[in-house]
Amino acid sequence: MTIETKVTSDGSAVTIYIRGRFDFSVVNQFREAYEAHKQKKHFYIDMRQTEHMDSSALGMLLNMRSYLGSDAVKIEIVNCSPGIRKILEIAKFDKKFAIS
Amino acid sequence: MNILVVDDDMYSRQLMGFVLEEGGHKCEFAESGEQALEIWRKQGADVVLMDVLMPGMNGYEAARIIKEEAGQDHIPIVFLTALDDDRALVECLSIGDDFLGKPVNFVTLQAKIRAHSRTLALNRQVVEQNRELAYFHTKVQAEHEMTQHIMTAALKLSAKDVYGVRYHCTARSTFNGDLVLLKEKRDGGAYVLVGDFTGHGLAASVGSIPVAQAFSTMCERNLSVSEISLELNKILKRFLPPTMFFAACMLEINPTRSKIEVWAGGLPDAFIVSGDNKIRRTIHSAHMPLGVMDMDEFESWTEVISVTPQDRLYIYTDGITECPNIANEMFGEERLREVLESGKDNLFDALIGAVHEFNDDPDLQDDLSLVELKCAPPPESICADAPDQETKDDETSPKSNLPEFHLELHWGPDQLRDSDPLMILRQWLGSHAVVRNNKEVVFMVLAELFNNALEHGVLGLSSSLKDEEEGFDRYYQERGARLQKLEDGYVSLQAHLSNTRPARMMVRVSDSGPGFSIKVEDLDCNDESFGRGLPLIKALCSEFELDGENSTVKALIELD
Repeated sequence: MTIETKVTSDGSAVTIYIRGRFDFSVVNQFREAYEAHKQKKHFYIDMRQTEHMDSSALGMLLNMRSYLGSDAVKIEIVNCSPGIRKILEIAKFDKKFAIS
Repeated sequence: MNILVVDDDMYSRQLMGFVLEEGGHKCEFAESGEQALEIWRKQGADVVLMDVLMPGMNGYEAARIIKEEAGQDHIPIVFLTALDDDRALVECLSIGDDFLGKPVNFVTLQAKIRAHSRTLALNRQVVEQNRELAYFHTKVQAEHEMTQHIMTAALKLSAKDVYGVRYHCTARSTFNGDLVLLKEKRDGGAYVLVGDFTGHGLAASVGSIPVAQAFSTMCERNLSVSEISLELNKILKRFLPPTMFFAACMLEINPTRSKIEVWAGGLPDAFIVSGDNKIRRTIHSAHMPLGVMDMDEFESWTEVISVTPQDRLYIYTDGITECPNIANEMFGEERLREVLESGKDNLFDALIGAVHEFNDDPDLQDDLSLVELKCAPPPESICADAPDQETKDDETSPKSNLPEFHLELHWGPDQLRDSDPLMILRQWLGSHAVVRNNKEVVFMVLAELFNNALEHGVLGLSSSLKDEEEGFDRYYQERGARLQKLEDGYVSLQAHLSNTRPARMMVRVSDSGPGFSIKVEDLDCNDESFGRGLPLIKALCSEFELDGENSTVKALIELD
């Protein structure tokens, strides 16, 4: 599984783990991951094991945000490698997502 | 049995010889102490029948010499004596093993020989067993030395110093059932594991090899504490016998050292001591030890705790709390808390000191481990980024010792249909250290240039499709459909890696498409009219050229 979803122990948030490549090949898996939890208000995207991404991944993140309603939901991108962080910052994603 | 019959009286010798040979024994005869020694030295004997009173060397003297020369080997000597005073009999038993009154009663003689043959057999068995014991002892020692060498080598991988961490890990015997593993991450974060196998000694410590190896690999892969706990449980469940398990506490601290994530199972409570020397947080063991639960019932959830730079975290094994003193009291959690809240400067040394003061007899102590983690972040100077600064300034030695290389790939329709045409390129480039350190940026640029060439150049898809409602999915459906029908067209890619320091990578991608009209000057990160991809590449690369007439794009990536 390249995409795995876990609900935190207190049920308040959902963590989506992305392993390996984050590109259009996982577009459906990724969408299903957040659509299954659309009532939740807090999401973590765990990029700890993300090997690489491309611009379609950026598109997928933006799609997620607009699907869930950008004002109502909090999406945090966590455990980014320095390289992924650089890409997200250059794409100005730090303005739209919390990145750590 | 071989029996040496010593008697100066010929008649007596012959009679005993007759009786003994009748009983199935083999006899040698000597008529004096001197002759007895001669025969003994030449061919030995199993039992000696020794007359006491003989001319020349008497029986006592001869017996003493035989006993001395026999050393460790037991040789029963039965004295034949007409003497019947107590002193003479005591003498017989202090030098030899038995006596027989003269004239010899043959029934008694046979019975005594049988009895001594039994003790002799027993004795020889003991000697043989001792020899085996000594052999096994040496063998075990040699094996222990070898095993210890392997263990030390295996554990060395995971015992690197980590900023802010001090540890103490002593074993009750040569082998340690306690285990402390540390791993610093490149980004300044760190992993810590403190664990205690059931029991101590060799059996308890063998489990540390798979644990240390797996832990080290998983840390390299940047796994979360939760995932590591899951994997270690899987390994230990498979390796350990049902009666054995591994109590452990493991944690990851983030690069800025503001947050720790902990999984604790089976170890005593860990404590966080605040700047004002109060235990501000107790970390209870929330899980069963590792190696107990089946995978479907194992719980890998973790606790995330915010910490401040003044916080100090103490994790220890029960060797500390259960350490007994002479009165058989245990050190206990109370004493531990007292030391931790004592306000002393160096709580780590204070605690080890207190335990040793409580019990200074190493034989009474169990395996004992203590880890202290000071949460203050490392000073900037030792951060992982520091060396990069150095290499950038170093213009005098611009060549690296790695060769420069050039790659050229060409994809026709069949190759383009492959689900991941760039995989082979990522594998090749990813094995190069310089690329690996920048892999996200390099792979991003390669993927972007390749996909643009394929999607817009070869397949003729328009980005604007993506902007429509549901367009994202439709775009990729259309991409798949056109790719299936593709009959001709190509994408070719050249990558060149310099051998300068820092290295740079040139990527040129061209395709069979009709060309494009976008100019680099038009690209702006804040304007998404050309999609997100190209402006991002422009920002990531030091040089970026678009040659629309020839359907060629060239980018230069600086690697650090």
